[in-house]
Amino acid sequence: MSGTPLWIRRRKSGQDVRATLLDGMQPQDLVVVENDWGTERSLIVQELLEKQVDRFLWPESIHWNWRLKAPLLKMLEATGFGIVYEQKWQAVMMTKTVSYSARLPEQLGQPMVYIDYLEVAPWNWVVPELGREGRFGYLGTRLFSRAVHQSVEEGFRGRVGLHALPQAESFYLQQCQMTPLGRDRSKEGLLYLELSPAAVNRILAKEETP
Amino acid sequence: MNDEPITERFSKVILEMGEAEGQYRSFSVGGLALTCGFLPEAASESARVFGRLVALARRHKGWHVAQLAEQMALEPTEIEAIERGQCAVLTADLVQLLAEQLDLPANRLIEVAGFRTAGPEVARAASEFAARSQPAAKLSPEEQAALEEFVKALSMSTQGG
Repeated sequence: MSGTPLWIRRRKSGQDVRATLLDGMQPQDLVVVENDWGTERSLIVQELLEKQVDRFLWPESIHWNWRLKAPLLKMLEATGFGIVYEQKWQAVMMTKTVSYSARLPEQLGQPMVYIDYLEVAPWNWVVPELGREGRFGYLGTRLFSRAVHQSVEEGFRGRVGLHALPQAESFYLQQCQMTPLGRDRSKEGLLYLELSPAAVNRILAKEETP
Repeated sequence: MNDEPITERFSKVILEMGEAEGQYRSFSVGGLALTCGFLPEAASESARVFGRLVALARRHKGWHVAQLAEQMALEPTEIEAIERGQCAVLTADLVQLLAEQLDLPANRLIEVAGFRTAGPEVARAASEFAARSQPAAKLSPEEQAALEEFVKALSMSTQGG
């Protein structure tokens, strides 16, 4: 596993802190992730129930169990990325490089990086109904950016696709400027989004110094 | 740690994206909630049929729960949960891996598990299988026959596209 330093932001104080982006997570790392995150998930569920928050406002990945995704990391095409700070996994992403190909007309059928799973730690979730603002920011952005770079490294010219959960759609549409290409019945009706060459250039332009 | 403003280290676009993160509830990519009532009840029934098929296919291979769990890098309790039809444990990727382990056609197994609308042949075969099989400890001749017929139906519908 190799690490790269990067900056994330502590939301409450606005302080920038130096975290580490790790490539090549192993299945056992996901066991650690779930051990840390599972307790916080349970706590949030408890708070949601106590405050009688409408189910449709619950974080849509609240049921996830990263340990169950651990076997997937054994697949040759799968890579796990994670951001670590204060000895805790703050966000995790799994990508695939073979199973999916691009759907946008200008890059139809071309190989790409598919973001299979991406989630930030439950203590970083924004849940307004619970007064939770999330401890650290820039995590989703940094992982997404890493996927674009992985695509470049693989020779895929930054092509990235994903199926966003409904609550995350607007982030990928508005901030990442991904192109929506319809809902997939085989993926629980989730919206498929893909990065166009123009959107890739926008993200890669004027990249910061590490 | 550091005292420099983050703007000096981030590109403009990344900065904008990162700044905007706080406005969004989620960045999650992957599967939707199978629990919490996000999926219809029909999915739970599919998971039960799927669980029974996994249990019989495993026993047909002569494997204990622990053996399958080890091959899948899962806990035995998780395999047991899948076999009990607890859909919270199940994901489409796990279905695919189970198909590989149990020598079942992955594309049809996805339908049986409820991740994709089952074609009429698969739906009928699943229904008949559910009616005939019981989660007993030992594979009875009837269960053996039910399993073989179900797998045959899945394979035939796979050949048929």
